[in-house]
Amino acid sequence: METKEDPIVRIVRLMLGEVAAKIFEHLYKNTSEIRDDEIAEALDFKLNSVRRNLYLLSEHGLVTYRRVRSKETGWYMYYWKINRESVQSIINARKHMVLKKLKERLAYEENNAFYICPLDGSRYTFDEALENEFKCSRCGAGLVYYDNADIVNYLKERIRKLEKSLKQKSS
Amino acid sequence: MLSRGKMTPLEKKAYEIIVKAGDKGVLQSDLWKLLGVDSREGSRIAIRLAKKGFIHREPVIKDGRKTFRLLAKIKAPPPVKVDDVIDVPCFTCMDYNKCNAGSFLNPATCRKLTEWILEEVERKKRL
Repeated sequence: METKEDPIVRIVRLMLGEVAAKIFEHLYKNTSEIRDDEIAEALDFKLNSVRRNLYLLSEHGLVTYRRVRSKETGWYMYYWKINRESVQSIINARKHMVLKKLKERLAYEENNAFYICPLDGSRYTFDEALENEFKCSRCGAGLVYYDNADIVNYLKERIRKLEKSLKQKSS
Repeated sequence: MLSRGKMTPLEKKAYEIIVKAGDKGVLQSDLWKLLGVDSREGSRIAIRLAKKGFIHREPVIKDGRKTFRLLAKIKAPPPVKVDDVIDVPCFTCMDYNKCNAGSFLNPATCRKLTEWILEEVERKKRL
């Protein structure tokens, strides 16, 4: 059975790539601190690749480490864990970004009149429709007025919900 | 950040058991059995882990006897809540940095965003 991927892991994959996402996921599922060599062994990755990606994750504030000098070898050992606060702030930053995009889209929907091709469903703004003499540029069919009230209402509802969720987090 | 000394292998094993137990914790009276040491050694390990700042010891009564519930100070991160935004394609879009009003990629004409909005509006109508 396929397990559902945590969205934060998906975001890390998009930001930093597959290896970093796998390492992040491994740390995310474990509550204790983990050494880099333990991660390499558990995921069957090369140690230098694990270290490189851990530093990459660390640069983005997603993970932190504790350094301890080994009494036997004199070398430093690094214990890694997820930086919980940072993960939350990255998600919040993404939510703010989505809110901005939805608002831009709402402004576009509210400030334009739309026409649609009844055959292939292509949408045109009034200016585009006028330029094409109210004919579909793909199939030549006559365009008809398209009422986007449902789109406007839907976007307003999603924006309101997202704003509420962000307000709750910041209070 | 917790101030910590180095852990002995047995302390590390005990700590891992306590961390894995999560919010339920582990009773000190059970820890020694899980570690395979005697009860005195088990208690000493728990006390040392608490002194080093790795765990809390909460006094509890079990079967009429006083013991301690051992809880790790590092806890699993709370689940990140994204239910209100995860379905919006912009949330996981790789081009989100290039997408702005007036740019070639923009939220007004984005195909992925348009498809999602139209699907959602249709889905709402069917409800």
